[in-house]
Amino acid sequence: MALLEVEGLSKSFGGVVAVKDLRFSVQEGEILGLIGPNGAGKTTVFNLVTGFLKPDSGRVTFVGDDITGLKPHRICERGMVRTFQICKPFARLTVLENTTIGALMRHSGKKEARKVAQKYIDFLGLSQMVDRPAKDLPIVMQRKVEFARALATEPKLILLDEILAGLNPTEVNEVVALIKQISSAGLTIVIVEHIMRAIMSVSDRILVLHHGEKIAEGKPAEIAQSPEVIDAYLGEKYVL
Amino acid sequence: MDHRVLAQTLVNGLLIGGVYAIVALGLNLIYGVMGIINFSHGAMLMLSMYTSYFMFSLFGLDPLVSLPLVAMFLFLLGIVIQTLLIDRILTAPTISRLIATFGLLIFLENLALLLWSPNWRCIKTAYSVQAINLGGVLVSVPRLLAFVIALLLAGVLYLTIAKTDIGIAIRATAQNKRAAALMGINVPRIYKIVFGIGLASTGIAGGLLMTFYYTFPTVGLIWALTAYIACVLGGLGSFAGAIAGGLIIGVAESFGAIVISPAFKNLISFAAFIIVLLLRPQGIFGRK
Amino acid sequence: MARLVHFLSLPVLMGILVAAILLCVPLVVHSPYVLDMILSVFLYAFLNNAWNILGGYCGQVSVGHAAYFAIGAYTSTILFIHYNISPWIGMVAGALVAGVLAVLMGYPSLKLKGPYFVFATLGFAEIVRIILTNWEKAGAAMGLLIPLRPSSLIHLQFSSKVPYYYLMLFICAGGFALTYLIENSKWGSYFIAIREDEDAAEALGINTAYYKTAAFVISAMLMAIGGTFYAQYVLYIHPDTTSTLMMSCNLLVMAVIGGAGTVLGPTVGALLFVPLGEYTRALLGGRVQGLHLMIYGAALMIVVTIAPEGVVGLLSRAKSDYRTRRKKGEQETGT
Repeated sequence: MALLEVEGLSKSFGGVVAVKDLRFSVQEGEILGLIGPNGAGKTTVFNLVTGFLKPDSGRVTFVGDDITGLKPHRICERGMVRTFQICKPFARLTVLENTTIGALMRHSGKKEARKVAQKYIDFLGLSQMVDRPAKDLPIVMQRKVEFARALATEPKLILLDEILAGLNPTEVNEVVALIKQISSAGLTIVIVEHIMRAIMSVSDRILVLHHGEKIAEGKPAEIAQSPEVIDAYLGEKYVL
Repeated sequence: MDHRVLAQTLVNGLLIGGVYAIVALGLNLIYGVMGIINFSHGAMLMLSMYTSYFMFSLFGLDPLVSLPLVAMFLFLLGIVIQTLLIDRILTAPTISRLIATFGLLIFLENLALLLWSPNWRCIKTAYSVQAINLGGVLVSVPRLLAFVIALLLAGVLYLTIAKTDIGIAIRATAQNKRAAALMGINVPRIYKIVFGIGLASTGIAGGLLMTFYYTFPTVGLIWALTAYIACVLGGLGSFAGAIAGGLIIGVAESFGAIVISPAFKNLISFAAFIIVLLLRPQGIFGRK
Repeated sequence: MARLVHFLSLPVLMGILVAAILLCVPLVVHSPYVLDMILSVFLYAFLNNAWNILGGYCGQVSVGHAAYFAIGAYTSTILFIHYNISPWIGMVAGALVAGVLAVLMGYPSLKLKGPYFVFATLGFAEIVRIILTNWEKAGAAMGLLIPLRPSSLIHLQFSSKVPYYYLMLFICAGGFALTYLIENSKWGSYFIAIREDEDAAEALGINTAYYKTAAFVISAMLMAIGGTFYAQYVLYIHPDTTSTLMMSCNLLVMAVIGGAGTVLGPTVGALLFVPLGEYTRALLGGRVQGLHLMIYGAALMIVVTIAPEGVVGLLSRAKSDYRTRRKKGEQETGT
């Protein structure tokens, strides 16, 4: 079943076209990768889909309901959550406080919310630093905090915006493993990334954006061979 | 409304608007480059007015003649304040910066109270009460002179920022201070200069005001408040905005005083300000 | 039994001790001057707490909060003078007016970012002040005298300071308790989330517009309640004593230096500033005009440069540093 459907999505800023007539869908349970050169409009698509930007035209449907133009908090209530390209943990709050805030959406009591939060903290391996303020943590931990916090809202679909940025290869493998784990637990994921080996290995399908338009869509193997994609982005044949 | 009264009100509004504009320019420059709202700006205006007053009462210098001296004094004061206080709070949270500049305001206002008593001081020159008749509209000479000089100053500031090396360095710092530093611009020095220029601009406004207004320790507050409004109305960070804002507020107040009552003239400008903020928060010339 | 012992932890014991002391003070202290000063501390602690909910927890800095204080004071007083309505009802009316205005003013202006919001609050407060200074029914530049009535709870007027003391203590405790409840509830967490990062909060399902407005309304209504009590205590209100920028900034200063976003901060701020202000004014104000305020200004500048997070923030940082060092020590020595 298509969990998320996007049709005819367009957005311009001033005279610059950021996203043009975009159409794609995300199947329940899959991991969809979104790639493309910088400025291709990937984060704009995230912003449009999650309500941070209003599209000029087009429609976004989530679990069969039209959510176009809804405020981000309403979209989160329906089960779609996102992380941010520039990591945004609540800097002065502890890991536990951060994650609890995510859990509070579905569990109004603070005690209960904390229990739920602890579950996700443990899952992401942050148990040792529950009481440390987010700003004191290294970048990989901060990204995990943002991840845990988003997961604590118990979403159906999570959008990860360059969650691997700034991580070293070991850390990348660590987070990729976690992504695969939550996918197998049933969560649907859309992920934007520049680290090719990571996104190619983790995605079921890949969507390629260039100048705000979709130029290719398909399995990672097909995408790696596609001449348009190589031209626009990869530079050379990508060997999986 | 009689068209002559209309013209008179408009002219009065524009003339005072010119002075508002250069106070606003000073505030605007400081905000645009350093990102800080200077809550003590009113006290700076007050100090420059007293400086102008004492130049006159002690040395007999006409306020228009002593303008460069007042400007220089405020420029140096700006550098001192920037070094001792502003520099230390640039990275602090907004509330702290607000409190720090508020503390400076209280300190300076009460220093003035201590030194010079709460009595009003004013200057009488040969042209203080002169007025010329331009097509049926009575234009006060000191106010006209103030307006002209204010415009000249705005022009000079504009050219400085647009064309000179220092101006380019200032603009670069305003846009991206890290990149500017990497390009070899001495950012701390630019901050001192900018603060100095901001205060000097206000200093000139103060000197100009002394030709037709009076000073007392808390005089700065209402002028600065109006200048803040002018800045935000025109668009914080925009040069043209500060000028437009100043002129618009001047005219709005002028009409408010006539149409409703002098007591409510400030109310008009505040109300107009709130309406603009709610409809177009970035101000007239501001960028979103 | 174990539950009771757990509940009686150190902070709770200290709280009970402090409450007991405060309740006994009027039995021991008879000087109206001292009682008045303590009363001022209670009032300001309450007002600071009000500001703190919007400014400290929710992170929306208002420099125009005095306007709501004035609205409360003037609403109850005007209703009393012109319509003989009990100050208690007037207090509720004042709070309602403040609340409605907070929604009307707050909802649109809370969409503004950073300095723009600050200026909007300033503009609104000035509008209120100008209206009050020129409105005949509100006494204009003469202010309003609250008509004297026989000393009783119904009239909210007493001939001795003692009943006022207990009333103010009760109000102050109420504000304190409310802040504590908010901090430990979902609302408090949401306020803090909005303060720390509004976009992230929105993305986590928090209706930021709703919660910010709610914080504004609660804050404004508390200020108005304080205003009514002030009016009934001082028995004279004037725009210059109720709605000035100076007053708004004083609240802010006390709350922030005491510790914004904490339960104790606003009270600590009041404890620090009210007696100090009184003392310096008594000592210096008479002889040399303006000196005590110069010291105030200088003190602000110095304190802010040394401790940007306020006294309570400083103390809690010191406490966590101490804890980390002890933990490290334990790890190293293997205890």
